[in-house]
Amino acid sequence: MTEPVANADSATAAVMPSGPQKVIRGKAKVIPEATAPHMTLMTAMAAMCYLAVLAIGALMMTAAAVDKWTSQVASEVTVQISAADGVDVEGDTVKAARILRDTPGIAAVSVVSREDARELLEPWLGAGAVLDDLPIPQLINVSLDNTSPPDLEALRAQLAAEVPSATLDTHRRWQAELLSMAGTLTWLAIAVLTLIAAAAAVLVVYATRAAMEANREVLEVLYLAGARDGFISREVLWRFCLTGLKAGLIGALLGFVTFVVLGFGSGRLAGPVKAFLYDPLGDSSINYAAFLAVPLVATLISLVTARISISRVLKAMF
Amino acid sequence: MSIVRFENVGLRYGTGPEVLRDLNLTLETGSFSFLTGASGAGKTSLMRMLFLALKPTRGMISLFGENIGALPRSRLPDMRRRIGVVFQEFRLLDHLTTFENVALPLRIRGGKLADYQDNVMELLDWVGLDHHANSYPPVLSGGEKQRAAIARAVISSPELLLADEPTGNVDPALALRLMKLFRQLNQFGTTVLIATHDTHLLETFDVPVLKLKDGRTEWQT
Repeated sequence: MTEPVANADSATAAVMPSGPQKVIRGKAKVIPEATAPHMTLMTAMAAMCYLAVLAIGALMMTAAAVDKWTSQVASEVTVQISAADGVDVEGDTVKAARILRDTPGIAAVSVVSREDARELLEPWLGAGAVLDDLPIPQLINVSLDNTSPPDLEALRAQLAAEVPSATLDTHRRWQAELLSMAGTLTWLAIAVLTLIAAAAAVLVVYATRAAMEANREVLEVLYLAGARDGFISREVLWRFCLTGLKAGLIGALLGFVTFVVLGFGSGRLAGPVKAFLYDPLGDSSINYAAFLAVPLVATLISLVTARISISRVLKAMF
Repeated sequence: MSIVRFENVGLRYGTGPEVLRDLNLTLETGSFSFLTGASGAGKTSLMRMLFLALKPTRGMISLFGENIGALPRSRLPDMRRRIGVVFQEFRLLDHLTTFENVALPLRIRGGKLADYQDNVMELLDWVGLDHHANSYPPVLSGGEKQRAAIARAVISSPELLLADEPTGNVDPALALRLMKLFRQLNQFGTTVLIATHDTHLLETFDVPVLKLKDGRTEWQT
């Protein structure tokens, strides 16, 4: 192959210098980047990821708060001495407190004074003289040793036998309600995250089709030159992965900023949010892992969905 | 031995009339032939069936001894890699340089730039485009694009070269030079089929001519 075929026609002959020293540009992407579908996808995916981060953050904070409340509730019980007629409230209180102190697994026993009981009731009944006339039951706060908690049923039976006016309230009903609420919120968050993931997958499908359609001519040339589906998939796929990753990072960053703003801006949320944000080495580190999971999951959704979509589009095209 | 065989091949687009019907033809391995016919006779459709861009609506097409209708989709790329195609409208990729366009079939096959760079530059030199290696198709003239398209079609040494009106955009002198290039390829063993309605070209070269008329083919010598 040595015969030069032509060397005459060229108004553009001077466009590039010739000669053996010329640097050859030979690694451009085979399929041009269709910018519009990727920008649209990235914007929409970033919004999805932002919502996902908010949902995860809200779920984490709810879980942390419920955990804190339930552990507090679980580590305390209350003994109530009824102030019914004929009951020696003070004597029964002393007797019940002694039983409690003698019970293994109880860390502290504190008798609530009448003044403290009045303070507790004042928000509902007012500060008037009515409180003096009411037979207010005597309360005994009992802190449990969580490492070796007592047998509450046995304690309840002992109190019933020795101090009939005493009742033991373990707050189980509140605990159950808190756990039920936490379970409902968890399922709600999972449903929201699933919907977000599904919506993101649909977006990727449409963006893939748009990108493939925009490059139909190029794809046909590649096919007729002998390209396999895998070659074209690889050429297209990395961009969708990159778009998913970028969108995930943007969404996660915006979500993080939102929680920081909430943390600084709301006194009511400050406690759990601060624990959530400023304890990276403590129990909250899992929250950061969950945040980082968003870009990874977004990339995975882009990868898997685009792979399937590309394969289907190619089969339909050729 | 035949490299291409058509048996009772028919083609229609959608529910329209058959544009090609009862085609029975054979191309022998190593042959050099023209395909001609009036404008709209179906030359491009026939070529598109040959380079596996169109499926016949009936009949059997055999390429390299295999019935392509019975081939699974996954095997079609292997068949296409044995065919070089020069499209009537060039179909160079505007976002790639001339070098990258010509090297495309090698890149698709998984070749490394360092391995094929010299071959591609040699071919570009052969078609007189070495000084345009880094130019993009939009700045090339019609003749240059034609030669780039030809270089891309032959870079992987195809067994069958199909060229659709390869001289349609060039002056007569260059058309003759391109034809000499095709003859040279043919001498290296490539089977060549060139679709053209350029009567001057047909008269200049003494090769078998397959004529398409009324949707059917007949050989003229």
